Amino acid sequence: MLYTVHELTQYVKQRLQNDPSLNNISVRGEISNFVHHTSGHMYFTMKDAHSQLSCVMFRGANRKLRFKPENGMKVVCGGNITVYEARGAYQLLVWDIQPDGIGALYQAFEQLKEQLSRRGFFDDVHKKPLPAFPETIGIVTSRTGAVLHDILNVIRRRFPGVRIILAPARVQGAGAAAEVAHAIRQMNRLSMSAAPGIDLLIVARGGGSIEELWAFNEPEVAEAVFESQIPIVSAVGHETDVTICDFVADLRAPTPSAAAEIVVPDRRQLAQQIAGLHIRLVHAIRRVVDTERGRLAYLERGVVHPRDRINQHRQYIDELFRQMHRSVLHRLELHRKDLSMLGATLHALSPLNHLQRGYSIVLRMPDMTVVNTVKAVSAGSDLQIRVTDGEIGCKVHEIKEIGEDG
Amino acid sequence: MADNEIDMGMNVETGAETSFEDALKHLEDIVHELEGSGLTLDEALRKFETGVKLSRFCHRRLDDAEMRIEELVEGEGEVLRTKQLEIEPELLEP
Repeated sequence: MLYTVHELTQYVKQRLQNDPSLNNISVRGEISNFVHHTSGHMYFTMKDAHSQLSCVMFRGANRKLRFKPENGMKVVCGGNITVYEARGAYQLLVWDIQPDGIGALYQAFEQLKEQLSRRGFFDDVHKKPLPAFPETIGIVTSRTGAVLHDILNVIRRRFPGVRIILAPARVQGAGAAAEVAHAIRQMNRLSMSAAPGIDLLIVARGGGSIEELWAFNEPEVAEAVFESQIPIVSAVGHETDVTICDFVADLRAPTPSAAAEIVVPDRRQLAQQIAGLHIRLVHAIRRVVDTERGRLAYLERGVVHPRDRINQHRQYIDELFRQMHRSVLHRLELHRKDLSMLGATLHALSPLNHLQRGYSIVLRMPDMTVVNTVKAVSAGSDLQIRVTDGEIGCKVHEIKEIGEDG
Repeated sequence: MADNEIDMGMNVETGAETSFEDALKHLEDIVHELEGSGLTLDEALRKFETGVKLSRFCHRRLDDAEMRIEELVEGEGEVLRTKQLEIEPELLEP
C-alpha cells in the first residue's frame, strides 16, 4: 500500500469519524493551554496524568456555555473525535463542557431526561392549559425561605383575592424528592375531595447548585408532576437552571417570582378591562334605546298608534257630522227654495194680487158667494166689495145685462 | 359576602358559584351581543341589566383584597384538610 499523506489522512479521518465509539462521547480531564481566539472559537488541551487531547469548541457551541472555561479546571467535554487534516492531528470537537465533580449527576440527568422523553413525559399533548383566573393556588415549596415570601408578595400585589394552600416540603437533601412528590400527590387528593378544587400548582425552589436542585431531577418528582391532574408551573432555581421537573411541568417559569407573575392576572389591568366593558355596555344600550326611540317616533307618525287610531275615528266622525250637517242644510236650502218658489206661484195665483192691480171681488151677502154674473143679484141685494185694504158694503141699484143681445 | 351578588340570577342554569372567569366571559359576550344588532328592546334591556350586575360582581371580586393563606395538614386517615398557615409574620407583610 502506498498512500499520499493526504490519502492516508483522509482514510484515518474516515475511520475515526465513522467509529460509533468516538462519536457523541464524554471525556473527563483538566483544561490547559486554553485560548479564546478573536474569531470566537476556543482552543485548548485536555489532559490527565497520562495523556493529552487537543480540543476545539467553535463559537456557535461555546456561546451557550454558562461558565467560562479556565486552565486547571476539571471538566467533562462532550463531542466527537475528528481529524484536523492540515496537521494530521486528531482532536475532540467539543459541543458542551460541564464542570466535573458533578459529572455523574449530569450523566444521570441526561439519562433520565432521555428515558422520560421516550416515555412521552415531555410531550406537548400532555401539557395542560393554565387557568386564566385561578381562585385557589397550591404551592409546593419549603415553609421557610425567601421563595414562599417572594411568591406571596407577587400574588398579593397583583391579585390578592385568591386562596393559597401551601403543601410544605423539604426541597433539598436526602428525602426531599420524596417529600415534593408526596406534596404534589396530596394536593391532587385534596383538590379532588374538596370543592372548589385547586386550580393550579406552583412547584418552586430558589437557585442553587446542581446538587442542591437535585431533588427536582429525581424520577419520583417527575412522575408525580406528570400524573398531576392540576396544572403545574415549575419554578426551580434561577433562570439558567434547568431541571427534569421543568421539562415535565405544564409550564416552566424562570424564577419563583416569575411563576407568581405568570399564574395570577394583574388586578389593575383587569379593572381597566372591566371598566372598558362597562362603558361599552352603556354606550351599546344607549344606542339601542335611541334606535328604538327613533323607530317609535316613526311609528307615531304612521297610523298604527292606538291613540292615534282613536283620534282618527273621532275626526272621521266629526267629518261625518259635518257632512251630515252640510247635507241637511243643503236639503233645507233646497226646500226653502222650493217653498219660496211655491210661495211665488201661490203669490202669483193669489186673488189678492189682482186686487192690487185694481180688481176687486164682489161677494153676495150674507152667503158670501162670489158674484160673477148679473143673474146672481137683484135690486136691493146686499153686496160686499173686497179691495186690497178692506171691504166696502153696498146695495144694488139697478141691473143691466150685457151680452147676448148687445 | 359575594354570595348575594352571585345569587342575582347569574348562574341560574348550574346554580354553581359564579367564577370571576365565567362572569368576565359572560360580560364580554353581553357587550358583543348588545353592540351587534338583532335584539329586541326588551332583550337588550334585560341583557344590559345582567351586564351591569356582572360588571359590578367582577369589580367586587377584584376589590376583594384579602388573601387567604392555608396549609395542607398531614393527618391520620383519608380526609385531608387545611388550616390557617402558621408562618413568620414577616412573610405576611407586604
